[in-house]
Amino acid sequence: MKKILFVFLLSITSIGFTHNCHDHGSDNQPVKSVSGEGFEIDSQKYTKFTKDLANGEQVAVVNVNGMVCDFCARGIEKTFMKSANVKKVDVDLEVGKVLIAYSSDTKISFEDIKEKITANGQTAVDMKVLKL
Amino acid sequence: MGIFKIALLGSLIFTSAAFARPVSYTDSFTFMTYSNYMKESLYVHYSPTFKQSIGVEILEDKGFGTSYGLLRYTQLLMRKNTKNSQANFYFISSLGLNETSNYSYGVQGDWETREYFLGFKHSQNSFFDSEFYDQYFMAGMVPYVGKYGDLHTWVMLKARRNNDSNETHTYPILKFFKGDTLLEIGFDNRERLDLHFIQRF
Repeated sequence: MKKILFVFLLSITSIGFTHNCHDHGSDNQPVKSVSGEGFEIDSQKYTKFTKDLANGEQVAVVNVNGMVCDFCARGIEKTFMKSANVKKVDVDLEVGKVLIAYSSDTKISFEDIKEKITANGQTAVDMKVLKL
Repeated sequence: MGIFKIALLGSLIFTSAAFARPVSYTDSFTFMTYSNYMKESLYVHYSPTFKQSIGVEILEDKGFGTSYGLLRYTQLLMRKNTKNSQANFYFISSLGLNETSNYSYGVQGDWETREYFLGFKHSQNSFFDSEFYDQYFMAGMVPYVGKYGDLHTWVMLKARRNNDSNETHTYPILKFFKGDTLLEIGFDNRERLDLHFIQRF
C-alpha cells in the first residue's frame, strides 16, 4: 500500500513538474509563424542555442511526439546534422521540442522535417520558424 | 528437464533482457554484449528503418563449451507516439545459423514515458529438440528525470516464466545510460550478476 501511495505521489509531483517546465518568457524575435500553437521556449535554452548563430539564420522549433529517451533524441540529432544547411540541433526532451538552426538562405519545409522525424520513429506535430 | 536445457533456457531468457528495445533508429547499428555465469553473448544488429532490425548473435555456453549462432529479425508492428509517451509492439524471431531446426518467434511490447516503463514478451522456442515458451513482464521507474545528455538511471523489476519450471521468478535490474551507451546490471533469482552492455552507432 505504501508503494502504491509512493508511486501516486511521484506521479502527481511529475505532472506538476511538467506543467511548470514551460517558460513563457521567451519573446526572442519571432518573425515568422508557420503553424501551430504552444511554442513556448525556455528563454535560457534559446539564448544558449542561438548564441553562436549569425543574423539572418533561422531556427525551426518543432513540437515532436514520442521523444521519451536519449536514444530518440540522438537519432533525431544525427539525422538532421547530415544536412549541409543545418548548423546545429538541440533536443529538449522535457517539453518535446526540437530546435534546428538553418542557414539564412534555406527554405524550411515542414514536410521535409516531418519526413525525417517520422523516419526516426517519432511524430512531428507542428512547427514555428524564428529568424534571427 | 535436462541440465543442458536448463542452461539453454537460462541463456536465452537472460539474453532477452538486453533486447528491451529491439529496433534502433533508421540506418543505425547496435552492438551488444552480455555476460553471466552461464554464457557470453555478442549481438550486432542493423536497423535499415526504425521498423526493422536484422542481426547476428554469437553465443558461447560456458558450462558445456557449446557455441552457436542465431540470425535475429525484428519487425515493429505498431508504434503509438504521444506528447509524453511511446508504445511499441514487435514481432521477434530467430533462426539457428548452423542448425536451422533451432528457431524462435514471438511478440514483444513496451510502453515508456520519461519516468515509467512497462514491457512484456512472449516467445515460442524450439532449440536442440526442445520446445518451450518464455514470458516476461517488466516494470520500471526512474529515481530522477535526467535531461538529454545526462546519465539516466532506471530501477526495474522483471518477472519471468517458462513452461518448464512453471514458476515465476522476479528479480531487480538497474539500468544506466548516457548518449549512445547503455549498461544493464541484473541479479537472477540466485543473486548472480548479469551484465549487458549496449552501444549504438
